[in-house]
Order: sequence, then C-alpha cells, then structure tokens
Amino acid sequence: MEEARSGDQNLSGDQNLSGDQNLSGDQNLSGDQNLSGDQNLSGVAESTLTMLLSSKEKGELLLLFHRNPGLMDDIEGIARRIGRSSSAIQSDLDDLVSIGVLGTVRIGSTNVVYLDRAKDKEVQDSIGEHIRSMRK
Amino acid sequence: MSREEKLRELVRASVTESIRGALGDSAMKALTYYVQPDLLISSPREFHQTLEKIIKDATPTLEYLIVKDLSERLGVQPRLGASDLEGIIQMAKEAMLDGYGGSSEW
Amino acid sequence: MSRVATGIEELDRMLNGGFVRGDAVLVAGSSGTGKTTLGLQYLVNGIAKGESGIYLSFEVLPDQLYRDAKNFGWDLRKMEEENKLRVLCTSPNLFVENSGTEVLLERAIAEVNPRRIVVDSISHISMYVEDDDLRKELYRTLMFFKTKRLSSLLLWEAPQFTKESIAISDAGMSFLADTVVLMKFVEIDSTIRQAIVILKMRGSKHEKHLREYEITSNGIVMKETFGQLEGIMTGSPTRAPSDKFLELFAKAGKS
Repeated sequence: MEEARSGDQNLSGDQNLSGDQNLSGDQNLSGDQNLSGDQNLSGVAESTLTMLLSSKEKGELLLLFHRNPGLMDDIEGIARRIGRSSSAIQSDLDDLVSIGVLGTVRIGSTNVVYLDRAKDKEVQDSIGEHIRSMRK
Repeated sequence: MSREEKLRELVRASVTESIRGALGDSAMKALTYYVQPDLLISSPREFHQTLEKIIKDATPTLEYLIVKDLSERLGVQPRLGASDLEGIIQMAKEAMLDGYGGSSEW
Repeated sequence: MSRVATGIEELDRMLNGGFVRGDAVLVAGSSGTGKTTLGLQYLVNGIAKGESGIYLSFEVLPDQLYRDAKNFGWDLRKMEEENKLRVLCTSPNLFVENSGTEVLLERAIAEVNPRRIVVDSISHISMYVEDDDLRKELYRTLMFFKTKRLSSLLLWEAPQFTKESIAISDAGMSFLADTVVLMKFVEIDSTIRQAIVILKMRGSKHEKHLREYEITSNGIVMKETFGQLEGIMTGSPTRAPSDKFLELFAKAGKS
C-alpha cells in the first residue's frame, strides 16, 4: 500500500521511483494505488479517519457525542462529562469542529458545542466506504 | 451459556460498540468484516496487526477505546496500560474462569 | 378547549380529557416518584398521536434516558431518527443566558416541529439564578414555550414534605404554572405506595381525589383512589373514623 518515494528521485516518464514502481504517464504509483477520483476521496477519508482518532481524548469525545447526540454544552461542561479538564480537550474539540463533526454556536460570550448530525453521518459514511474499498 | 460463548459475546460487544461509538455503524460493519472480533480472543497480536493494516494511525485510539470498554464490562482496571489488548484479554479469560471455576481451556 | 392527552387513561380522565393545549404544567415530586417516567410517557404518547416532542435534560445524559426508556419498551433513538423527537442535554447556566433558551432549542424546533416539551428539571435553574431573578427567569421560559405553541411539562424536584404547602418550596412556580400535578410517596400499612393529585388546573374542571399509581414495565398506570384513608398528603395517612368504628364494632360483636 505504501509508496516508496524519496526527494531526490526523478519523475521522468521511464524511470523507476523505486524497485517496483514506474512513473509513466498513465501508470499506477504503487501496486495498490492510482490517482482516480475514488482514491482521492479515499485519501481524504483516510486522513479524516486519522485526524478523528489522533488522540484518546478525541476518541472519548466522539463516544460522548455519538451516544448523546443531543448534548449541547460549553467546553467546561463537556470536559466535566468525560472527566477531563477543559485545557486538556481544547485542541481536540477544535479539530473535531474543523472536520465538521461538531458545530459551535454562540450564547452570550460562550461557545457551545454540539454534534452536527448531518455532517457526522456524511463523515461516517465516507469512512465506511473507504474501509470497504480497501483490500486485505 | 458456556464460558467461551460468554467471553466471545463480551468481546464482540466491546469491539463493535467501541467502533460504532467512535466511527459509526457503517464503519463498524466494514471494519468487522475484515477484522473479526473473535480474532482478539485467539490472537490479540494478529488482531492488532490486521487492524493497523486497515486504519493505520487511528489504531492506538481505537484499541484504547476497546480496552476501556472491556475493562468497564469486566469491572476491572487494565493491568499494564490503557491500550494493552493482550492484557485485557487475559483478564477477561481469568474473569470467566473465576465466574465458572474449573481449568483453563486456553 | 383543545386538550393534550398524556395517554395514561385514568390520568387523562382526572384532567377532564388531558392538559389544556399550550399550558405550562408543573409536575412536582421528590426523587423517585416517577416524574421522568411521566415526562417520557407524555412525549411517547404524543408521538403516537402525531405530535413531535423535545425532552430537555439538565443533568441526565441522553444515553441514560435511552436506556431507561428501553425498559418501558420505548425506543427513543428510533424516534429521533424519524425526526419525531429530540433528547437534548445542556447546562442550566447556558439555558438562562441571554437568548440561551432560543439558541439551544432553535435547531431542534426546526428539525422536528414539536408540539410538546418536557424540561427535566426546572429545579436545576434555581442553582444558577439569584432567588429574586428566579421567578422572572421561569416566567420568561414559560412565555417562550407559549409563543412557540408548545405544551410544556416542567418537572420540579420537590422535597418529600409532610405538612408544608408546595408553594413554599417551589419559587412561585405553582403560581406561574397553569396546572400543578403532585406526585408523592405515602406510607400505608408499612408499605411505600405512590399518590398523584391535580392541585390546580386553570380554566378547567379536574378531579380532586388523590389516586394511587404504579410504575410498571409499560410506564405509569393509575390505580384506585385511597378510599377511606385521610391525611394522605402528610405521607402517613390514617383510616377515616367510620372504618375504625366498624372495626371496633365488629370486634365487640365477636367477644
């Protein structure tokens, strides 16, 4: 699955990048990958998956919101519900908001976080597709 | 229900619910097609390797969630670490033995 | 007058057909009397009649409510998937913030177009608001629900009082609410049983008897009135003189 590319290799049409790869115009980069639209989407899904579960805190936040999709709370409230401090989860929450799985809304001077059900479903479906598209 | 069946049920529930809770139903069905929950009982190492081939850098967090879930179901604290699959499976097997008595079959 | 039935047969009869549509109903009772069960049953029965709802909790997470409801055969997650229900959970301090109520509820209202709402519980708000402002805050909340044409059930954690009036401990909610329902434990013959009574129902007739109820595997089920017992509101009732007299008379006859 993994490509072998180093920074100092040529990308001329008939040269090898590694022992088993050529980069002629219409050839695969590696045995298992090509640059079709589906693989681009799969690449996006893979990096989303990695970002979603890049920390234990993110895992716990996803569990919390998936089990409680109607939860809407500020960072202190959310941190309290998973037994963490708000500083410990700030950057994880920000990442989940940037992916779109969580949304924010303002109440007074407070940011309130909630599960964006539609976007969350979209992300889940794309990750499911990505996993199904992989070979063992 | 035999010890083995009870253990299988427990581990299947932990694996599927942890994946479902983190990534949703679609991903859970897709992932457990490739990585059978029962493999975690027979070979935690192989389970880890197969999981890692598919979800790569997301593996440690998912394993952490599985270990945490299984610990809660067993009512124990993981012995060696939050992501120790082998350790928690060993504890699960011991818990089944304690529950039913008799010799180990693993 | 349009009615909002709870779906609990005998209770709806006590209410002369159900709560009055659009009214704010205060359901007061101590912990364990079944207020949450009544709230869920009210929403579930409303959904069965085509009326979507919102359950707003300040303490218990939706996950716990899903599990509790499953025990009664109510699949709340499925109702949410069908856009007939939203189970929301937030912190009371956000709810009482300026425009907090509107912001917290607007998406749910847009998604399910509810006719009913349960708030569990109004008592939590009192922890975040000064005593002087509490009544104002509760009034604002009730008015918001009325402008959205929601028939609201507001749960209030009342202490298991004996002789005091409910109004002393409820920050004036019993004055603000259109209907007041009281649920309480009573001791009869060394057994704890449960009693429900309609204390107030603005603009409508209602039954004045205390009735026994039970929490079964299908939810709340109403039973009979308490017959010749009196002082039930104290929590420790006694038999009315006529019963006592008959017992003594019967004993004297035998000896």
